[in-house]
Amino acid sequence: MDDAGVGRAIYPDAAPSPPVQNGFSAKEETIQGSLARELASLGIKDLRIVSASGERMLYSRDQSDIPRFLREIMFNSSPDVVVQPFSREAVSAVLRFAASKRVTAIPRGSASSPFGGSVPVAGGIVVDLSSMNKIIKIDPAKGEARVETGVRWADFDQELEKKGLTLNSSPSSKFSTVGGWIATGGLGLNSFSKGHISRSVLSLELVTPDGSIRELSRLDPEFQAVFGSEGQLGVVTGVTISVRSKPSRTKPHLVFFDDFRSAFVFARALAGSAVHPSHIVFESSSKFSLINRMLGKDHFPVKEAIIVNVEGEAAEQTFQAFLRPTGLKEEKEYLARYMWNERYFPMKVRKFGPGLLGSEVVVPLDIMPDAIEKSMALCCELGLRPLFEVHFLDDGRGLLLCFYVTDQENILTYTMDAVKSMLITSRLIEIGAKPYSIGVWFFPFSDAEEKGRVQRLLDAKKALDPQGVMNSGKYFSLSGRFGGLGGLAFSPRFMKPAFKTMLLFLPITSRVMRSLSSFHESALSKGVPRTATDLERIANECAMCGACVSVCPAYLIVRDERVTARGKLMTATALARGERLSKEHSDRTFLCMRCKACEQVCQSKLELVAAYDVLEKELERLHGKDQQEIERFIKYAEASPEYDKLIERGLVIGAPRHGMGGGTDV
Amino acid sequence: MFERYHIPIKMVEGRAKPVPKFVIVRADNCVNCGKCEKACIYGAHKRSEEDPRKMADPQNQLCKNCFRCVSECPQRALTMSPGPEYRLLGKGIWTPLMISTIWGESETGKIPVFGAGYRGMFAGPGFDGMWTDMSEIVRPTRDGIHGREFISTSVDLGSKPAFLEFDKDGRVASDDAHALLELPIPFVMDISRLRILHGNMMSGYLHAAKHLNTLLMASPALVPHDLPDDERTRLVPVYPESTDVGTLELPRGVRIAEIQLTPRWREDVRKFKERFPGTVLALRMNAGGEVDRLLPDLVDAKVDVAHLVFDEQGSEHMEDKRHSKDSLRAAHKSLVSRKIRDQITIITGGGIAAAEHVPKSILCGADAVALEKALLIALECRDCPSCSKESCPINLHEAPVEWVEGRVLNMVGAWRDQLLEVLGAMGLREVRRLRGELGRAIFYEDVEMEAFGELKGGELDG
Repeated sequence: MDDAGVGRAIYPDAAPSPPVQNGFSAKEETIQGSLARELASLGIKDLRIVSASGERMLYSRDQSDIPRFLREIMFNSSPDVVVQPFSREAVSAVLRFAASKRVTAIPRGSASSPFGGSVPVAGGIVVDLSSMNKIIKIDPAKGEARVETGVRWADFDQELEKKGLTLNSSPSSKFSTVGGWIATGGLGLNSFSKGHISRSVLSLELVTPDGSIRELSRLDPEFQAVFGSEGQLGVVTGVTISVRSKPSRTKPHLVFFDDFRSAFVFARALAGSAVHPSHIVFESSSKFSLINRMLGKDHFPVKEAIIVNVEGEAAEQTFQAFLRPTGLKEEKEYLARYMWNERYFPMKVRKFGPGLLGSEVVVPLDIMPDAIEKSMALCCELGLRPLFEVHFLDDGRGLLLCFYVTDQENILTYTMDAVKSMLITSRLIEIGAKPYSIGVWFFPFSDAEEKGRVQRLLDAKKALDPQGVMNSGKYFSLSGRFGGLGGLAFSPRFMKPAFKTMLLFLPITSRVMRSLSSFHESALSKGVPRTATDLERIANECAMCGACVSVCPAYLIVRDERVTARGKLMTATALARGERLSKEHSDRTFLCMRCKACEQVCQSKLELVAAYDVLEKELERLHGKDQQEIERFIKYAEASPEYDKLIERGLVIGAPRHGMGGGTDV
Repeated sequence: MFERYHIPIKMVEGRAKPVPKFVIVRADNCVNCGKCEKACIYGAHKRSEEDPRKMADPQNQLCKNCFRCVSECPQRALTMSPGPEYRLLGKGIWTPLMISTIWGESETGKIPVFGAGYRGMFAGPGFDGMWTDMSEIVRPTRDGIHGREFISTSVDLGSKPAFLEFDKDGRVASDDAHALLELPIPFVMDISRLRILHGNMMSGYLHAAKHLNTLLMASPALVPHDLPDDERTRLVPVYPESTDVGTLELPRGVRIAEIQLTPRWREDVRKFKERFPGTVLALRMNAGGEVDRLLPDLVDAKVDVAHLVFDEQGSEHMEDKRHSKDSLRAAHKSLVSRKIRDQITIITGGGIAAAEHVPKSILCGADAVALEKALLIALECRDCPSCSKESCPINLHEAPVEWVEGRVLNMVGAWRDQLLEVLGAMGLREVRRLRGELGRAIFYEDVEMEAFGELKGGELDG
């Protein structure tokens, strides 16, 4: 094949020698751009530099699929260069480089948050930390563990389980990274009993733009500021976190109510009782109608529900004693367990659009029912059918998620629905909610943040990042294209009055919106992709949750997200949009073990491998297929001890490991 | 110049789709990690050639049932089961294992290897009820197994004089009545009873017989007239009962001929000896019944070879249905007790389904063994319940002559090698010395008697 534009082949020519730590050996693309070249010339150890446009493209978005005109026209969301450090020293060197060049550095975990916190708004260097994924120490006696920032919660929990331990709390996206959750919301499962993640973290290792690596203990003034700082202070590289022994038994309970107010009355009484459940979740009736549809059978009544997880025998008895006098009947255990298991897959319903948009805010429980009622009314007005989910917190508040299914294939509908999500958030904040996360898209609501919190962050920023290197152009102000106009348009100063006006003239607003778009709920799509159009549909159904990245053996070897399901589907989307892809990009897409691990963890249950076949056929037509490269990749993988370890552990943790679906015996 | 006897073997691949003994099923949870490829030393698991990212379907016919892939699969995605088609092969002593073993021998010419050790019974009916002495197998010194090239597998067909006679001048008196034929292997090929025989097979068998320097027994009606001399001399015409020996014309160059045992056999033998004094006379008879008593009479009548015939399962056709191992022993003993054993050769035919049946037959008293159905199985025959040219799953009528020859050479080569191993393990240098060496074998009923005879109060005696 033509080697023009291709860098050195790092594969050893002859028999594959044991791979070097972090050394991907497929043919690398050449370094593109002056910034990347300069960075490469420093020869920083433990660092992979991503500069080719194809791979960089992956870093211009996160879990959300924001309408393109917002993302690409208002902002320069494409990073100038992406780095994958493997050590804190590498992080330090990169930050020093960024500071010296006056370029912003944007830390990124698994990008499973939808708010845009890890997406550039004016270029810069994205620091992909998902490769710093070592679990350094687990100490069962002290009940604590030390991990690197890029460790994924699911992998972490798996390691803990081997020692009879478990996590205090975890985000609903268990494939997100430890550092990522600390830097963003920090609220999720078990937040009712264990509170915000900051309660569990004992100390943090923070690398700041001056290159210093400091360990922050709970006593440090900057310690609290790091939580939810969205990368404003530096890069968290290591975390010491308290863990607990795994409870001998846990039992989820599911109780249905005719109206959501009585559900909340019950839940609040339970929260104040002696039961001390580990977690309480409210799910609205619309969720169950979608789940029934997904399961193809009416397994669940379409009613408002409270899901309670109870740990331990004593608590279980207390719960039963609490439940008995209320006269309520709980659902069968398997239904409760199903719903409890679904806690990690909130995005499944995305399939029905395909697309999911919504709002995520923290609301005091006192006003929660009103908040739900009002946003419900607004949604009806806007022609939406929302799902509500509330995670009860330990401080008398609740994390409210208001989702609705949308159709992101219809650009107009999708854009309208995106605006609607802002209107809903705006209405909720009016009532007294606080934004859960700011990122880019919730910047209009940044002034609703607690003043004390913001001040604390500002103080820490002054101390740690006076130059403004870290994730600049966000949080405190928003940068954008057109001399900052793009960002300014999103500022609370401009947006709030706009939303107010739209809400004031709601009947007109909604009529305008409705006439602009006609959204038809498409049926739950099933089947194997056959054409490029099917491929695009599947790409749209992808929730971009990143679960596939965490299990992908090819990613383990190549460290290039383009080989993962998420990356491949993004390639498919780019292809469908008519973007030009390089031959190297195309060749990368073929690097795959066909292990189907991605299919197994896919919460949208997409037929990914079949989709790859279609995509590959398309790419082969355009660029041909580098059979040799594939063969070298396979040989390399087979010789890699890391891959061996992964296979021995099982690609998908907890998945059954025995023959399934094979031919039957005679 | 002396030339050591050697059977040239070479790979002769099967023509038909293999019938795998084990079927490996790769379940959907296979992650294409390639561990099975590393695990399998037989090469049953390989990555797909067109897409190396995927594992190809397992090459089941290469599987030796060692279960290594099954046990090493990190996904436990592999299951193994006996092949359904395989299990239906053959019947009776022609078990699927016997048949597939012959296939393997005919393909590779090598001694069969069973991955997970011996999987048969330790005792059973027929030949399974006897064990051979292998006491020398633990002595690799002396000639041992490395002295195979010094072990002779030659046998003689025909009668030997009990003593030498000398004439007045002190020379050995010529004795035309003792026609003798030496074969380098104790096998003859007998296609007179095969259920199906196509022209190419006939030619292939003949070529093989020539190559092996042994004999091919066939009905003269089937033998082409224009055979070259070196092939004709390999032929043993087998004449039917109705043949009138008085007018019989032997094809030119034939050194041995076979007639049937009929009530008028004495007359036939006398006429044959008169007309063809230098030709070895074989008399074919169903084993059992009167035969044991009759054998000394045959010696008296100067019959050279007694060809005892059993059915496919190795049992007598007569009512007793004794197995050939018992029948041969009885025949052998009746001659030994009269001290005339060397004056006649015994060939046994029928029920020879494996290489081990050869030394066992010889141990029981046969001089040589006639290969029959094994010759058909060597050509990948599946021993279907019904057989016709149209329904043949392997299109046997299309088998090329060289292919037939190669397959037979391989099988006989493998069988001879196994015979050599047995002889080496017994410390014998000659197959002739194995004949009737009953002290070198253990019979199940004897062992049972020794172990339990007392306990059962003589119950086992009769």
